[in-house]
Amino acid sequence: MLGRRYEIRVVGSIGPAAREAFTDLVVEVEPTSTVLCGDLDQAALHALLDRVRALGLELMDIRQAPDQPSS
Amino acid sequence: MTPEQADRRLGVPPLPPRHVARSRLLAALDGADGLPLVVLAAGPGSGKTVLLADWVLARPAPVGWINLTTADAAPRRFWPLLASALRAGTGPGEIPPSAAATAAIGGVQSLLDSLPDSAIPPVLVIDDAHLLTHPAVLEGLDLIIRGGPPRLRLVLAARSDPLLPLHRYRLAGLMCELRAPQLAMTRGEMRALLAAHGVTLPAENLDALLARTEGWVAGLRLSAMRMEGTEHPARFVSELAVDQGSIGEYLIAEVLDRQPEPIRRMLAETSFLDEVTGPLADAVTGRDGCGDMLAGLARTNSFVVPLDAAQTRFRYHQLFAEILRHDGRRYDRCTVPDLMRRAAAHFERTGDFRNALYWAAESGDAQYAAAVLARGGLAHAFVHGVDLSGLHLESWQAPALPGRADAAQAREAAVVSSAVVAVMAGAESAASDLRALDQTADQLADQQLSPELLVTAGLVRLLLGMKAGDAQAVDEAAGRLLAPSGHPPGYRVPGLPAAVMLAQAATQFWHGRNEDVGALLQAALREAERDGPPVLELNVLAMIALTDSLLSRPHHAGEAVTRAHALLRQHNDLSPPLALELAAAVRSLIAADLVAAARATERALTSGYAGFDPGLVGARAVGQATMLLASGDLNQARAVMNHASSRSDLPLLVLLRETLLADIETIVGRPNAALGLLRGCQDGDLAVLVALPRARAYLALRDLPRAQHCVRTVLTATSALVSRYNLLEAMLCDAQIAQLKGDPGRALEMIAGAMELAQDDIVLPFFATQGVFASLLARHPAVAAQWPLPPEGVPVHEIMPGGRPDTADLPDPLTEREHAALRFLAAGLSTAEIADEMCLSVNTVKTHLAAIYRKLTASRRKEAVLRAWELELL
Amino acid sequence: MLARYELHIAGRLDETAAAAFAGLEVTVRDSVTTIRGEFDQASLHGALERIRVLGLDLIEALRVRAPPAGRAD
Repeated sequence: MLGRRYEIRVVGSIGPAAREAFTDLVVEVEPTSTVLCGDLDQAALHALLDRVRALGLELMDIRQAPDQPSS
Repeated sequence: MTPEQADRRLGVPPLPPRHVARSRLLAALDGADGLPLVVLAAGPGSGKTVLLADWVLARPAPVGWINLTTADAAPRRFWPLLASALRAGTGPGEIPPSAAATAAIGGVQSLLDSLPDSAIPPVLVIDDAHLLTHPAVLEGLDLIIRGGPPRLRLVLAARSDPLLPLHRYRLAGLMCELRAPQLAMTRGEMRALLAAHGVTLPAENLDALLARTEGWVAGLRLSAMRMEGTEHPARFVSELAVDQGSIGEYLIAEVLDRQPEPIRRMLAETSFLDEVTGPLADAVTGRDGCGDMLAGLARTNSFVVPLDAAQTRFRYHQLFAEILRHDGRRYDRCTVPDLMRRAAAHFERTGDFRNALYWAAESGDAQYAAAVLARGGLAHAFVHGVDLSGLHLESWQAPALPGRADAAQAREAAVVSSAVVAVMAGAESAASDLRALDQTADQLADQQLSPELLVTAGLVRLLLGMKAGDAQAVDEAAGRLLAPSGHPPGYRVPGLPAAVMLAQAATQFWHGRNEDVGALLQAALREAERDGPPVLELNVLAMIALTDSLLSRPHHAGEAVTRAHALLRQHNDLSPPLALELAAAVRSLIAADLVAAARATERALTSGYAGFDPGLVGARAVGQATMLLASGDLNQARAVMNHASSRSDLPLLVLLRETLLADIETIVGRPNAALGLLRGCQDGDLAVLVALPRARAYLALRDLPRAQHCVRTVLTATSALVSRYNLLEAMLCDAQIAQLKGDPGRALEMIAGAMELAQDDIVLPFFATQGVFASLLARHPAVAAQWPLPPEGVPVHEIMPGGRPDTADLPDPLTEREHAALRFLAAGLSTAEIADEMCLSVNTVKTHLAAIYRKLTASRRKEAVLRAWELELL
Repeated sequence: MLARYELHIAGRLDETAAAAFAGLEVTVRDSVTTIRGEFDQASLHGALERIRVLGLDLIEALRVRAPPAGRAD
């Protein structure tokens, strides 16, 4: 199954250990939340959500990024 | 200590140091008395486990506890584990020892039925219940919850909602829930916790702490530990309030900062392990004294959790472990794969090859994993039935030998290489792999190989032979492994001789050479009892049960099954092997208990790793197809057999497949197609097994002479392949022929003979031919009354005969000729016919018969047949 | 702690899947199924796990209303 670009938003900021747990993702810091972005198929998405749960991070939402323009 | 109490999965976790009871929540749990379900659903560190442990310890029996793991969430492990947990939690004798076995066979309903009637139903706590995802398990739990007044109360602790219909339970008032808001600490509880650590804070700091942690229990415990013994605890709170990051990480990092360097290092370097012991940590870190460090940590904080009362095994709280892994980056001396290799080396030194192979594979170093395999991992896996597909040896490549490698090194490398080949080989490549090995045979036979490698080399040939379906290669390899020269002095693999004998017996059986199978299996069993691990003994018993069931020897099979279940009760980490489930399916099928057969087949299909015997997988397919055929689902049966045809070359299985497909053709009205299918199987040692489906096809074509000829072949066969079941089928076929010839007398005779032979365990052939004899039976109600019928909803384990007397061998055994005469006698032949068949005079036959009657203490033919059945001589 | 969520799943739910989400508001439009309800973290992860086990294709999970500030005490 082809992956899609997902953005997973969690409440607050994440510390260095959590950041390291998500090294294969792009981490964007927002004022009161953090966004983890990456190309994920369903299996990878659920694995990621599992880690979020394990790290005790509060899950806010899961979105798909709009398609990037090709050029 | 009973086996249940010793099982680490069933132990209530010890309370952390400086624990403060949370009476409001304990009261809430008590208030749920009478409800079938309590759910604690909240994220990690919310205090669920500690709360429940506290509650359970104060509660009178009966209470059981399960620390669930992913492996134990599978149905075949879960139900026995549940039964064991209940037994461990109650007094002895309250829940019968057979509960675990019945749970394994009959699932949740049998388990509930085995619970004693009591005013106070037992309580079962399941920690990490979010791991329960298998539909069969969830259905069973739903049954427990919604089955009327609770006979068993469930308390589930989970990080996320268990996949049960909680909404339904909520509406029906069946459930008490404690969720994050309830589990969060109140101001009062927080003050009590701080007080236990000797910490007092002014009011505004208390407010700040509560707000910052949001009542998160783990956060407050960490904070309390952090502040304990400091002069100005309020300062900590101020700093904490200022930090904007993840509070868990902040607090744990704080705790780590305050650890002495050696401890901090040890924690970081062992964070990848699921379970840590002192010696293991010493090996991984390369330093001594880790055991003391771990015990000390467990005493002073709650994120190093002891797994046993003696405090020798520990695990890290998951959130802590995540942060430790990050902390490990500070030390770049050793990478994680290096550490994993050290762990593997430690396990290899202690003889724990299962863990050694696991960590070798996890380290990603295929070379290392292959080397461990050759040094004893393969032998260990073979004896214990370990699934080696997780080793990921696809990435293995033969390493280039150094330029000055000597002959010994070259030979060693060859053995390692062959071990990988043996594990990776599929059925198709195994034969050619074996031939390639033959060419290097001289090298491998060289005595200069170390003992471990010598054994591995022998096993490689055995395994490839099994995969290739090459019975001769298997016999040769087994002979060498079992010979005194096969195990060098000073090196012994416990259980290896038994495992080799089991493999040899299985191979012979699948090739249709039954003569020595029984003796080999008995020898394997004795050897396994003497020296092997329980799992091996179980596998041997399972194979005995299967072969005896297929050969219509229900008493011997029943004995083996009883012993197998005793082993399963005794050892909680064992689960019913595939062969045992197949044996149950066969028994049910023969008794025409199609409901039980379907259940057993389902269990066989989901039983996980099938072991090293490729025949079992093929047999499972045949069993499934037979059951489908008996249930009338012809298309599915055909599909299953066609799907399986590409894989198995084992003669017996090929033949069973062809006969099944042929019978299907006959049933759908294409007997010529059936005969066509069977034409190719007419030669060879197993040809006699083809005779019956051919007879049935000829019968359908109304070619009575040819049908009769085929039937005769079976009735007069002396081959050990022809079981009582086959004889019985032949007799019923003969009866059909007689009926068509217009000879109802003979037909009734054959039917009566068949019923005698069937005793009380064989029903299926009668079930299949009921319609054919309907009018005949209508005219003879006395016979019709004895027509064997399938049981009504009788569970499988009840029809396994247990403890019938007289299965000991005869003091004065029958000679071969007498044995042959007995078979003809049982098949309904007259004295004259027997004389014909055996090329003897009638008087000689009468002498033989007299001897038979004497030895079997029978006075008439009927009695002799009955005795022969009891002793399973046929 | 409770927040209102909308979970968007590709395709329609069959009978088994629909039964798994009993108690929640399930609507379908243009081959996208939307499940609405109030969730705390544990029940949210529970719903996501259900989606995984059923083999459904998760498109998005959106928080529609933020939880109330502060803690109920």
